[in-house]
Amino acid sequence: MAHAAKLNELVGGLVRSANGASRDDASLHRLRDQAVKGLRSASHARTNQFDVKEKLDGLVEKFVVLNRDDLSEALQRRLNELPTGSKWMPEILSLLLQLSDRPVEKTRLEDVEALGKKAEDVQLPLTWEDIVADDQPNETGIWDDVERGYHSSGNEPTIDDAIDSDETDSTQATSVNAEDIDALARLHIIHPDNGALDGVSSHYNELQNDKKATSVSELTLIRETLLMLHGLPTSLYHLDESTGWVSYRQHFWLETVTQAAVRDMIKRLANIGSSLNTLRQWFRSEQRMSYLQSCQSSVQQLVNNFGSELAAIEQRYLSPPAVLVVSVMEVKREVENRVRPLLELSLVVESTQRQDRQPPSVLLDALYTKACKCELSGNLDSSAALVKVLLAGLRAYLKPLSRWAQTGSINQDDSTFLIYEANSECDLSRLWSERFAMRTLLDGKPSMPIFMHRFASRIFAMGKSHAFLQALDDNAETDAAGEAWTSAQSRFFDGPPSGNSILPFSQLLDESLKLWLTETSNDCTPLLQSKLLREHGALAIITELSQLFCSGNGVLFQMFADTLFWRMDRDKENWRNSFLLSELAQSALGSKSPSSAHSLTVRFEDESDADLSGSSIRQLDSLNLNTIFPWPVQNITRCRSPALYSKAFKLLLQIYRAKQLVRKQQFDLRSLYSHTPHPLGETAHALRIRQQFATHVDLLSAHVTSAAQTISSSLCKDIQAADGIDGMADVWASYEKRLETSLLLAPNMKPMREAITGHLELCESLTIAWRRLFGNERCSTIEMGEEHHEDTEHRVSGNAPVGNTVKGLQSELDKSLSFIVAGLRGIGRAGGNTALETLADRLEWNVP
Amino acid sequence: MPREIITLQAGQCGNSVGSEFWQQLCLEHGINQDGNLEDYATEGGDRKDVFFYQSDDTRYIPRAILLDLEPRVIAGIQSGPYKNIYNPENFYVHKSGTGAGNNWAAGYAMGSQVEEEVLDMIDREADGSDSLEGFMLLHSIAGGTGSGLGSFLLERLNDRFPKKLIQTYSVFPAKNDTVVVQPYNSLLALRRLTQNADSVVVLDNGALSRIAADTLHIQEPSFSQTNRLVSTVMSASTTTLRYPGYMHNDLVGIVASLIPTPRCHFLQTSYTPFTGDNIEAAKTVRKTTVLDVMRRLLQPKNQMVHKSLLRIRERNLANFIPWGPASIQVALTRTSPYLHPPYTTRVPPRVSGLMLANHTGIATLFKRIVYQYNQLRKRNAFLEQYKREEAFRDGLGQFDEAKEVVMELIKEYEEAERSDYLSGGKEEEAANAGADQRTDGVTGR
Repeated sequence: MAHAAKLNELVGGLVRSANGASRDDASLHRLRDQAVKGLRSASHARTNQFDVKEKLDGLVEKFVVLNRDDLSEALQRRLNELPTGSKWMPEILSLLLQLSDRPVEKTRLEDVEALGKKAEDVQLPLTWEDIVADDQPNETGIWDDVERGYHSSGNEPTIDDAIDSDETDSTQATSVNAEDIDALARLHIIHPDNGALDGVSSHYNELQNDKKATSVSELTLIRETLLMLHGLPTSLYHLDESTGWVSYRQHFWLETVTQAAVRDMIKRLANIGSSLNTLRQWFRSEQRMSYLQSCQSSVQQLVNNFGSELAAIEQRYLSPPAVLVVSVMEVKREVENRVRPLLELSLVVESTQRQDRQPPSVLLDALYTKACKCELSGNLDSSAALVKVLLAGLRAYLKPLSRWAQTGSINQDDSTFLIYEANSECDLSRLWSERFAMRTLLDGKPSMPIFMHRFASRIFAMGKSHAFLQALDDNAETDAAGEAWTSAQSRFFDGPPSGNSILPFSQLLDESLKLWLTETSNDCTPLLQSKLLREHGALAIITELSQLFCSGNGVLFQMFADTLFWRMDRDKENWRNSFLLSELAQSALGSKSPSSAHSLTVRFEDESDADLSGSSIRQLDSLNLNTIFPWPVQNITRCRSPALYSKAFKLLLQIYRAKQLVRKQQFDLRSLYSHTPHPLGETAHALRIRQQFATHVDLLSAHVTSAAQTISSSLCKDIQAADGIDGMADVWASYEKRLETSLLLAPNMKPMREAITGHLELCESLTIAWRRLFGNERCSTIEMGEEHHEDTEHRVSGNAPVGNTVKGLQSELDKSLSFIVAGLRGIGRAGGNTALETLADRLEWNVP
Repeated sequence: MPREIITLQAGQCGNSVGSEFWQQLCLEHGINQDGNLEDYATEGGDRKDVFFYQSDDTRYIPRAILLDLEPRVIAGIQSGPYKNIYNPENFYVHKSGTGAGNNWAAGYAMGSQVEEEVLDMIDREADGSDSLEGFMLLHSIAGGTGSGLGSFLLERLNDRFPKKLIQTYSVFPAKNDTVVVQPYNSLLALRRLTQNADSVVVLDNGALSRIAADTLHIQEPSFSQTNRLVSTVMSASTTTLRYPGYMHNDLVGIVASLIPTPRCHFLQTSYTPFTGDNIEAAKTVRKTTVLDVMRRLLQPKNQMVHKSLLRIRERNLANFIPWGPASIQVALTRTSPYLHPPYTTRVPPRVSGLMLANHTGIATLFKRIVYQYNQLRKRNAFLEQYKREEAFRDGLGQFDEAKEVVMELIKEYEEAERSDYLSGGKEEEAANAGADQRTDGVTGR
């Protein structure tokens, strides 16, 4: 009661101090009662002291029983010493009992004794380090290497003699080396007693040598068979160790079965054993290629699984259930059921081993074919096993391919890998086409599993893209890619990609491979393409080509051409100055084409034997405007410079030269009027021819420039949309072809080209006729020296026997025009080139 | 090496048209009213230096010489929005300021008075260009200054610059022109145009009015409206010079194949689509193709006058001279980017085209002038004012000479329709209604 009252008071105080309520507060009572109730519910019953004492007594006794008398005594001693006055002693002891943890095993008496002692009282055990520290071993001689004979006081072999200690200069070594683990270990080696198996082997030999036919029990036969199937030597079967071939012995029979039946069965079983041994030998053989190693491991696993199944059969006979029929037939049936996939595998392995010059991926192909066949024939177990091995191999096979596709790097040592570095030192301009090559078989197909052939070119291109990108940028972007491929490839064929297991395996695999390629690839082709086109200026250069070579900017072209012609007219001997003309080309033509301007050059073909006697239009034939593509662009164009564009430029120059000649006559018309207001006879004829030439030259010029512009602009569009560098190269090639045809630059169109040049040359003839007609003083046709006029006249008449009369010129013109029109129409129709047909139509439109 | 062109504007009409022309060029090249480039005009690729030069403070100054004998129009230009772009030294207004009084002879006579001053201006401009291509004279042939002073200038330019192209944009009078003596003036000026110019772009005032009425639905077009038509045509015909493409980048190149004989150098222009502000709605529903443009270019109504070409041939949309090839050239060209939104509020047509043609039909125009001249001359009307001037001191021989030249011109154009023209042979049977028509330049957008 007193306790309760005291508790009440204390709790009241606690509550008041907590919420600051006064002693008279009505709610105080309620709160106090609640608190008291709470405290009461948390009170516990006291520990039963008798219980504790009983436990402790029991413990002392138990220690004795467990042969720990020392512990028991120590405990008893301490129990005796326990102070009795302490109120909480039972609780303390109970707690200690609860805390104790396997005291018999874990208690060290020394520790218990040491409890309560001061730290300095505990003496550390003396060690050699202490001794050496106190007393340095400075006596000479006694630490030298001990001689062998020292221990051999007698001839008895001692433990020490067994130790093979080598000679050493070290004085640290002692003869008794307690830390020589080898020696200690050797002491514990138990040498097998060969004699123990003597009985077994003699029995085995007896069986082997016993030529006499014996009867064996069915159980023995089962045991022997199972052992044989495990690949072990047995008495009833003969195992040829070198080939793994199993044959059976003739001289035994079963009591209950006819000999023929037994033989038949045994033969079948032996064949199975042989097949299994083939597999065993194969997966033990050393293979260099990683995918073969993966296949081996997978096959080994399958064989091991089969081994476990055999073991299960064995187990049945070793610890039989209550009733067991011993039947070799039953065993054979069971084995045959389970071994079928392995037999198929064995056939595949054997077939691949038989071929001499086999492609490296022959096994994968054979596995694939077999798996598909088995699936089709409903042999699903075998198909599954074959697929398992195939996929194991394929995963390994794809790894280097993934690496290639993602990083563009190959293992130089691998002589069987699909890709090899054909020319590591190749010129950068041929980096794409020549550095790497695909290994092919004799029939020209890629050296990879047939089911992957369709991916070969894409894989090849993806890796090349990376390699090219590295060469382009020299950056280490491949590292990240390298990490990506492991994660991607691990997803390969984890399950049917579309979730549809009804699909045939071939299709599943195909889709998996497609998926693998997409996921693995981190295809950098678009990146490469955009870098090449934009950062490395391929697009700008290709766009500029038509600007530079096809009079895309007519003003710049005219600027170049006018200066060139001025030089030609002024100094017909020395106008072929490559240096000056190159400078001119760069400053005039290149002024709006910054990417290519610096590499523009003008060269002349065979400068030494240049034909200076030809017409000026003919002389332009030897002029070559050129530019050198930067190496990334050369990988697309596959050529160093745009030779075709150079030819187009030459043609345009010739046309423009003719145009210029005709154009200059325009200025004569004004003065002509004041002298001959009524053009009659030859004058009228000359005017008419001039009109025809002006039209023809304009038409030709319009055709060449507009065709070049059209082709060039669609080239730019298509090259941006092309797929990969190969695609871009194809686009380039096809457009070059188009340009070649449209501008009549193809080698087989040379006659046409000659005819056009001849036609243009007639303009030069007209110039001479014009000068004759209208006289030098009024004629501004050619602003050149009189001497040059004579020369031109001579040259032209020498080259083409144009009649000096205007009428002669007209007939030449008509002839030439009809040839050109017919030719253009023919080429246009043959090649489906409407632009050429249109040109022909326009040239002959309204021809009188 | 730009091929510069110096523009000479003579008389009231020439200066008004010229003023519109320069405003149009400024808009197209992004040049503001002070001659500076607009901030947005950064695209480049155009050749401003054909028609402009840059002053020391990098302003663009037109290569233009503005001549008049009375101050009204030039004063208008000098106080107009674009007053600052011109070189003030290139204005010439006769001191007397009386004008030529619609009298060719007065204009011509005053020309000789101001010859030195004007030729100095021309020389100065010519010296300021690297590679002068030629001159463009803008004038009308009906009045006094443009016609008389223009004629005088043509003669002088012909002597002074024999190797430079002289092209004129000449406004021919309409039937009911307000100037009663326009047949006299026209005939006299036409003689100089025949003899002293390389090519004459004929701008028929009558046709301009018809276009305004029929296409733009303006019954009584103001001068500024017809001037805008003319300036549009002028700017279009010079587009290939200012926005270099692969062809027709110089004036000689354009006219070379258009002019077969010395005299047949009168070119007609067609332009489509003409759009006025009031037919904005019609334009939005129209889809213009190149063939549309070319077909319309060949319609007589517009006669201010590739596959598509073949169709033209197949459907006989155009007749060509029977004695020479069908010289029809099409050049596609870029146009100014600054005529499109957001730089302007009006959306330009998707495709527009200009045709320059040398058409034998032009002879009708000349015949009309001769006819009107004959009507006046028969009555000896208004001859007094001419007789007072220097050119007619010794009688009216000028008129007869001019008439003779023009008659020959007409004859030549008529002969050009025959197949034996220029063949040097005898006359053969006349070709049926042949027309010499060479098209040049479709401005495609």
